[in-house]
Amino acid sequence: MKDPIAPFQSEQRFSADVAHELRTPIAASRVLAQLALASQDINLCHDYLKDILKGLDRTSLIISQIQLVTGIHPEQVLKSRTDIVLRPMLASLVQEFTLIAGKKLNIENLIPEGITVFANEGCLLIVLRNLLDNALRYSGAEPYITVMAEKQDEHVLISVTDQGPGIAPEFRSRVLERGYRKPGTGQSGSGLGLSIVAEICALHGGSLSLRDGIGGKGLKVLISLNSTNTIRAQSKQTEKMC
Amino acid sequence: MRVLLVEDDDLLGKGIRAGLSQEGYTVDWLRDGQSAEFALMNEHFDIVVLDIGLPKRDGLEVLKNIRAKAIKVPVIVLSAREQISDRITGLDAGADDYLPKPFDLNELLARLRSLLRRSSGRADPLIRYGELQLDPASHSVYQDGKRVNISPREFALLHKLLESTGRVMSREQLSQSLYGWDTEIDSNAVEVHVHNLRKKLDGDIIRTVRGVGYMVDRVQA
Repeated sequence: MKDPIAPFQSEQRFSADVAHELRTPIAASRVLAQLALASQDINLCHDYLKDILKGLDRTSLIISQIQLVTGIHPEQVLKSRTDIVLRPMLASLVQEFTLIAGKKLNIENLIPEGITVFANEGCLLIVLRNLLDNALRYSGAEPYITVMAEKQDEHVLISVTDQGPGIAPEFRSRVLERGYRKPGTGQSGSGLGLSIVAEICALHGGSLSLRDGIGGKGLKVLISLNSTNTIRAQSKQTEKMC
Repeated sequence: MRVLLVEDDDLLGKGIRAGLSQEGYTVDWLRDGQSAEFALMNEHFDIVVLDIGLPKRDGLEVLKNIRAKAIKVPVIVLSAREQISDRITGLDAGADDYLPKPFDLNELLARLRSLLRRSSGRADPLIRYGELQLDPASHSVYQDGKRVNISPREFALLHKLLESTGRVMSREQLSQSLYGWDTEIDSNAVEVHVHNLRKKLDGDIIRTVRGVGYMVDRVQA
């Protein structure tokens, strides 16, 4: 079985990947700045400057994702897991996103009352923030997002579904790779978000998968995490065995 | 000169395309390895700017595949990996040059000129043909020491013909080299440019090959 802690342990590999990711937006900004400097046309200069800003935004997004991940220490994360009630957590995240967007967002919180997961709170926030951010970023001018959760045996399945263009099956494994950004989205993602989410889920003994959205339209990100009762039951059993 | 740009990043691709177009290149831009390989197998390009990390097919794989089919187009590889070993891998896969990101636009342009020069078997940065002199870096043309005023398209056409002396270039080849895929062009656009060039240049440099296209003879009397 794959060691869930391993992804975060290889810091060297991570910084190599990130340095690699930073090079492309820096290269783009540099080329565009040279074009702007050489141009006599003020309108063209404006266009180049706007693109330079996009490049810089992507650079800063990558940097904030690095800061996020460097704050995750696997052993501590696993030690400080608690029972988290999902519905109110999502509700406060939706409030946070609405505040930042400055307008009402169509995010439907369909998580039933009383569903809890056993996870590290900080990590779970990273996961949900990333999934909501992706759904808002990549699902067009009028995003409509639904978040659901259901308990299935020992796990809780959480899904974030949008009605955007979706991701074709052949791209699905690639978007989980660190640093991969689907071409032609016109968005300034860092290419790190989903891989970080997947690694956090794995660290918690869960998983992440990508599906078609409702009626084949859009994207559904499905994550599984341990539900509260299972872990307790397991640890009780372990205590007995000891 | 027609360049195939293969880059999946929107911003970087946009910047490079603008930079190359300003230099008078005809730029066709593809964003994945698979379609780049298909284009290279089926159409003529004078030079290729190839990113390594590409969707659908890795840039290095594209490079190996086209070299295996004996496609000799000069290729400069752009890569976010800058270890010496990565450069060696790129060059061994068949790249003619390797430029790590981020890079200077002017350096990329200079390297393209140098690759084009080498691919046409020239050591001199100026293209000389009898009393005619063409400078790809400054886009200037001189005949008998006097500057000839020509448009960017005329320059591109003359450049292409002088880099391929002794070979007949079909109208289609020349038109692709001048316009690539993007622009809807008039079917006799090449003829018009040739006509104008002939008026501006002394002597019968560009020869019409009936039913085929145009050529510049290899040795001038």
